[in-house]
Amino acid sequence: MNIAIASGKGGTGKTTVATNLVLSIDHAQYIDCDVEAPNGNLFLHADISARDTVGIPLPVIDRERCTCCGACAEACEFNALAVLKTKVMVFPELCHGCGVCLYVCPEDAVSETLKEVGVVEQGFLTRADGQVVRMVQGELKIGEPLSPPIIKQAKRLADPDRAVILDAPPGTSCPVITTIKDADYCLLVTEPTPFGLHDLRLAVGVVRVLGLSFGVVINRADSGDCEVLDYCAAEGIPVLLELPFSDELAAAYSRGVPLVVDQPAYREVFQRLYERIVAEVLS
Amino acid sequence: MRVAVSVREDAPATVIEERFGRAPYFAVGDPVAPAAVEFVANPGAVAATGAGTGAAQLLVNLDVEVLITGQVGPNALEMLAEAGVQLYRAPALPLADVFEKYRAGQLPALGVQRF
Ligand code: SF4
Ligand code: SF4
Repeated sequence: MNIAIASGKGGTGKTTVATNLVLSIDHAQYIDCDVEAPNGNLFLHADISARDTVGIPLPVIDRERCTCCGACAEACEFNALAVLKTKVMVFPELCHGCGVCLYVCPEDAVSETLKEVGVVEQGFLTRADGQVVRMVQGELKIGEPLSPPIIKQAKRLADPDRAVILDAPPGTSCPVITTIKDADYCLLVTEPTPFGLHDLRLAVGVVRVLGLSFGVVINRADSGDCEVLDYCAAEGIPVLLELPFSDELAAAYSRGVPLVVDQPAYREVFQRLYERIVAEVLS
Repeated sequence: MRVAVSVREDAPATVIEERFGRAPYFAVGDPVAPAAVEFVANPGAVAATGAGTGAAQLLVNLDVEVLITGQVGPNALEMLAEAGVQLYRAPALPLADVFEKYRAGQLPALGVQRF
């Protein structure tokens, strides 16, 4: 089972849902794909046992061989290369590491070096009930624009024998799609406010294009209006969970304590959420 | 002297487009003979990334010696400097006025810009 937790905007409680889910169900692993700001482990407190850098290939031009024919710049979809009269310039922050320049160069003047774009860390934590939970998180290097290579690497490290809970980046852009596109189910976390509804509509548009089965979790469900519920009813989107707002939970959250650790009764709520997801996937 | 001006339309009555990389067209020609100006579409205008470097590559390929535009990003600026292209800044004026001011030496040089 591979479940992606996403939301059209940040701050809706996506990480809260993802971390509490992984702490409530059996044989689970949490994969933080919000690589620009991974924060799930602030709640999970896993011990990091492995740390690997993620790189993308960056072209290096051999000036002796290069004839400035222009083929590489012509072929580069990202305009990351410029061919002047006597030299080739490479713009590392535009390069996507696709390797096309190396492929097209008629003079064999292009080789590749690895440019570090981030890291992926793996670790484990032991729950109060003795179960061991696996945690993987990707982190983009500051100033690097490309998160998909790190997200892909984090997902590749998923243990196939455990349920996968993917914490997606907020929004509806390319990194989100990289995260959720092959999930069995996508949970969209939102808030019962006009902003929440607006961003939910965008997210629904994306998951529909991807053909994913999906449902909604409404966080702080008692704090706003009922437009999100009305929208979901009208669109036939299942609302799998409504989480109320509470001062104790907010206080626990701010101390980095997950809901189900602070209030163990909530474990059942998240177990039921998981059962509903499984039922939705099987139906 | 081969001069390029970033412009909004491919017609002599056009005005300057101040964003270099995203300019739809470049008017390329000799300001002394404005009648012979040709209009070249800028592939950078619709590029997903690297609009500025794409546009600068076009100008290098066209053997342009002078560029008149509004603002140029750091990568394209580095490229154009490396290629020896002289840069001048002009606001959103009609093309004919730009050539006039260029001939009169009234356009300021365009240097490193901060965003
Ligand atoms: S394709 Fe090869 S030879 Fe041609 S400009 Fe690029 S690096 Fe040089
Ligand atoms: S690797 Fe791809 S993106 Fe990078 S410079 Fe070469 S062709 Fe362009």
